Amino acid sequence: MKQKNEICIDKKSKKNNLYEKVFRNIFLVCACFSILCVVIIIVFIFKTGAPAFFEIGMFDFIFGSEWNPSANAFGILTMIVASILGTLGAVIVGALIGVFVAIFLAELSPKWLYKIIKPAIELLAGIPSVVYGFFGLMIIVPNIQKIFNAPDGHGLLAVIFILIIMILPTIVNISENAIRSVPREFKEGSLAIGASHIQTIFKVLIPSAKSGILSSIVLGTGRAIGETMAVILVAGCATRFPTSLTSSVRTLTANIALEMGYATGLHREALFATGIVLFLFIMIINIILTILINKGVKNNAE
Amino acid sequence: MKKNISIIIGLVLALSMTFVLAGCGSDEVTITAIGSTTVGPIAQTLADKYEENNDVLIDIQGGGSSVGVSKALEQACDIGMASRELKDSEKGQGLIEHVIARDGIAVIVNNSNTVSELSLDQIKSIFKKEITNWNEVGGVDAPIVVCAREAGSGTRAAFMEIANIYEKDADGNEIDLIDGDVISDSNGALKASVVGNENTIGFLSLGLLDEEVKGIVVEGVAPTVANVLTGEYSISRPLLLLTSGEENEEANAFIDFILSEEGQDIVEEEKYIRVD
Repeated sequence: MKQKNEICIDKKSKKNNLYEKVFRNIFLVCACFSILCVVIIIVFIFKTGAPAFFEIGMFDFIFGSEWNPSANAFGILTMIVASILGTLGAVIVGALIGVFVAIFLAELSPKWLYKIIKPAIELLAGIPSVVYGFFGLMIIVPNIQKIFNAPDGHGLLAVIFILIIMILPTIVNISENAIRSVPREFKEGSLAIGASHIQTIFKVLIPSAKSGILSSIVLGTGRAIGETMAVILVAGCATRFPTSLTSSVRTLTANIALEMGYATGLHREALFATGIVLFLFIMIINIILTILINKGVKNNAE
Repeated sequence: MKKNISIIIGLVLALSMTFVLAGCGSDEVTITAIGSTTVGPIAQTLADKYEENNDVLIDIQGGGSSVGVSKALEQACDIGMASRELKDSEKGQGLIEHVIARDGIAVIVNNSNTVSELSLDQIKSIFKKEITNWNEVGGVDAPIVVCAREAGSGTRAAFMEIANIYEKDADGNEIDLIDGDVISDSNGALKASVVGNENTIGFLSLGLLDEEVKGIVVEGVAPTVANVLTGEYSISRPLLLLTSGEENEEANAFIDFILSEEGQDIVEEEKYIRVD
C-alpha cells in the first residue's frame, strides 16, 4: 500500500514539474515576443529614416522652416514648434485640471457624486481618438471661430483643447490612485496636529503622492505628443509657424499621417526621419520620468 | 484540470472551424480599387451597377491620387485611381492608363459669400496668399481662408497645373505654390470645410458640386459640365484607372464595362464628362 502511494505522489510531482516548465517557457516566449516587436520597430524606423538625415543634412532637416516636398525642401522646424506648443499647452492646463479633479475624487467628493464622475471619466478614456477629432471639428472649431473672432477655427487652440480632453482621464485616474495610496497615518497625523483638510491635501498628501502624479503627467504628455487622428481633423495642417493661438498648425504626427500614403524616395525617408525625431522626444520624456520618479522614491525613503 | 483542458480543446476546435469555414466561403473574386477621392464616388456607382450582374466584389478605397498611383505601381491593388495625368517619374513603369471620364474642377466659396466671379489671375493670387482679404476682389472686409488638399491629391495637382499656381525650378520640377490655411484629405472634407466657414475658398471636383457650396464663375465661364465639354471652362482633367501590366481578367472586364455605352451613360448621369 505504502509503495503504491509513493508512486502516485511521484507521478503527480513530475507532472507538476512539467506544467511549471511549460508555462514558464510560454511566458518567456511572450516576453521575448514583445521585446522583439520593439526592437524590430526601432531598427526599421532608424534604418529607413537615418539616410534622410545625411541626404538632407541634420541641421537643414531639424531647423529648416520650409516643408515642401515638390521643391525638395524638408525642414521640420515648423512642425517641431507646433508639436511642442500643442503638447505644452495641453499638459500645463490638463495637468492642473486633472490633478484637481483627482484631489476632488479622492478626498472631497460625496459618494453619490463619485459614482457619477468616476464612470464618466473612465468612459472618456475609452472613446476612440477619431471620435474626439470629429467632436472637435463639429463643435470646437466653429465655436473658436465665433468666440475668438478668428478667420478660421482650425488651429493651435483647437488642438490644445482636444488634447486636454484626451489626456484628462489618464491624469485623473493615475493621480487619484496615487493620492489614495498615501498611507492614512500621514493624513491622520496632519489633521491631528490641527491642519485643515485643504492644508492637509496641499502640504501632506500631494507631496507624498508626487511621484505617482508626476508619472501620470508624463504619461499624459506621451499621449498628447503622439496623438494623430484627432489633431489632423482640427489643426488645419498648414506648414507654417504659429503666429497666434488660432493659427493653422501641423504637428509632427499629422505630417507623417497626411503624407505617408503616397510619399516615395527621399520624401518617404524624410517622414521616417520625422518618426525618429518623435521617438527621441518620447525617449527624452521617459528619461525625465525615470529621473523624477527615482528622486521621488529616494525622498520618500528618507 | 481535465475540465480546463477540455474547455481549451473545445475553444481551439471552434477557432479552427471558423477559419476553415471562412476559407471555404463563396468563390467571389474581389477587385480592390484604391486612390483618388474624386474617382472614388463614380467608381462606387459604377461598381454597384456592375456587381448586380457579375459575381465580383469591388472594394473602393480612398487616399488620394498619388496613393492610387503608388499602390498600382507596387501592384498592391487591382486598380489604381487617379484624377490627374501621370507625372514623368510615374510613367514608363508598366502602368496602363484607362481614361474613364473627364471632370472639371470648380473653385468653390461659401454660399453666403457675395463674390461670384473671379479671374484666373485673381484665383492664382488668392491661392498663393498674395491677395488676403475678400474686399480686394469685390467682397466684404474679411480675411480669405484658403482650403486646399494634401500634397498627394490629384485634384490639387491638376488645379495647380491648370491655374498655373506653380513655378519651375532649375531641374524643371514643378514647385507647388498653393498656400493652404486648412488642409483636408479628401474632396468631401474640403467641401465640409468650405460649408463651415463663410470666408473660405477652395477647389472641388465638379462632379461633387451641389447647392451646399457656390461655384465661382471663372473668366466669365460658369463651372458646368456643358462648359467643360465645349472647352470654355478650362479647369478640367482626365479621370484615370490604372492597371499594372499583368493580365487581370476581372479588373479588365470591369474597366470594359465602364468604357461601354452603359457605363458611360452612368458617367454622364453623375455629372462627369463621357469619353466615348
